[in-house]
Amino acid sequence: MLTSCFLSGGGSPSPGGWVDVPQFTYTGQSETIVEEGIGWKIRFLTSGTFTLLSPDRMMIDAFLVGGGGGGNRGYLVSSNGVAGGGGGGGFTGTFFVQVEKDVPYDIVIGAGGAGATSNGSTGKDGGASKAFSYTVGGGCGAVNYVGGAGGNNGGSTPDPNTNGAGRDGASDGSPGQGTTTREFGEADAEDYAGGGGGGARAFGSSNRAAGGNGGANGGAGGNISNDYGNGRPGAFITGRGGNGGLGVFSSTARAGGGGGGGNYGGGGGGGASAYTSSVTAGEAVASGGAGGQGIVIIRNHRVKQATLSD
Amino acid sequence: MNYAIIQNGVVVNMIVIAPYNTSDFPDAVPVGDKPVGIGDEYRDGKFWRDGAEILSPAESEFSRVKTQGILKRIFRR
Repeated sequence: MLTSCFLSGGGSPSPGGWVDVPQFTYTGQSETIVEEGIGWKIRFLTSGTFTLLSPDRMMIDAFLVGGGGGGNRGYLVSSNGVAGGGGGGGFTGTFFVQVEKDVPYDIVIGAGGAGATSNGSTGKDGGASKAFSYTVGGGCGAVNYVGGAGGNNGGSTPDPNTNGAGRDGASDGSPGQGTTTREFGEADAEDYAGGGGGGARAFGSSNRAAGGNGGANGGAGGNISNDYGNGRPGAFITGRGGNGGLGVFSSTARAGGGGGGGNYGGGGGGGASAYTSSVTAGEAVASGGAGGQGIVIIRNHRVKQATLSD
Repeated sequence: MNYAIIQNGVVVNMIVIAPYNTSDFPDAVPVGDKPVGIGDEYRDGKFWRDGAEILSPAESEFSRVKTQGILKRIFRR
């Protein structure tokens, strides 16, 4: 159930004012961002234990993103090549929390799901992220040519009997979880957990087809600019965003891999399929990309309308 | 680095942990570059799916080469 409300300002202010960065310890990897005149954010990048040292208690907003699902590999159906669907982006949620001093809070960061890389395998689901008694699930790995479900659904690919481009992964929660996947649910914030793009299918000599783009400003699918090769990753920052699916060429047919979904929690791109009668079947399909890891972000409780997840 | 959370011999979650605080999660098992996923099994120090051990890409390739007898021919020389 979603709850929309106007947030009151600050909760219990610290001695220096409610926008002061709290003193805390964290056993994993984190980074603190100060937003002048607005407040602060803490981004938890790996799992660990968070303990508030000062003030005695504070009200925070928490934004959770699950790991992205893996893209599927291209596969064969009765000697017909079929491209793999893109992995679903992780689910997201925004929560209103009171944290207490000296209480250890476990923060769990969901990992991205593995892409399908061997015959008969499928994309794996992303891991769940957890914090402050809340859990958001990972995106679903793509199983066949249909994109995985998630916060943002992965892009599908042409069905076994159709040539063509892979479809783009979703953005901003649609199609997907049905609510925005933007940071803290705010309309002007950056989008997370883009769906992975679907791989392309090119069957027959000289056919060309581009992979779908990753959602949430994710990586472009393999297209004419890289000779219908691999889909690009969701971001250039290691660990952030889904990985692109691999493209493939088969004699004169070329098909691009799906692009990785954008930002933390992005789904992996789907692998492509390019098939002509002059090559062996095993050379006609390519691997899907792994999903991107999730993230947990907290910030000072703010005077702004936000959409909270129950 | 990715770790599998194991309950009753089954992977129930995949999470990211830095090398220096793995003690925070005693149920976590490192997966390296093996394509382990939620629902896979863990026993005897190995990961399994549908009765087959899950191998890393390098292990899979080594296994393939070994099966094809290529290594035997190399050693024979």
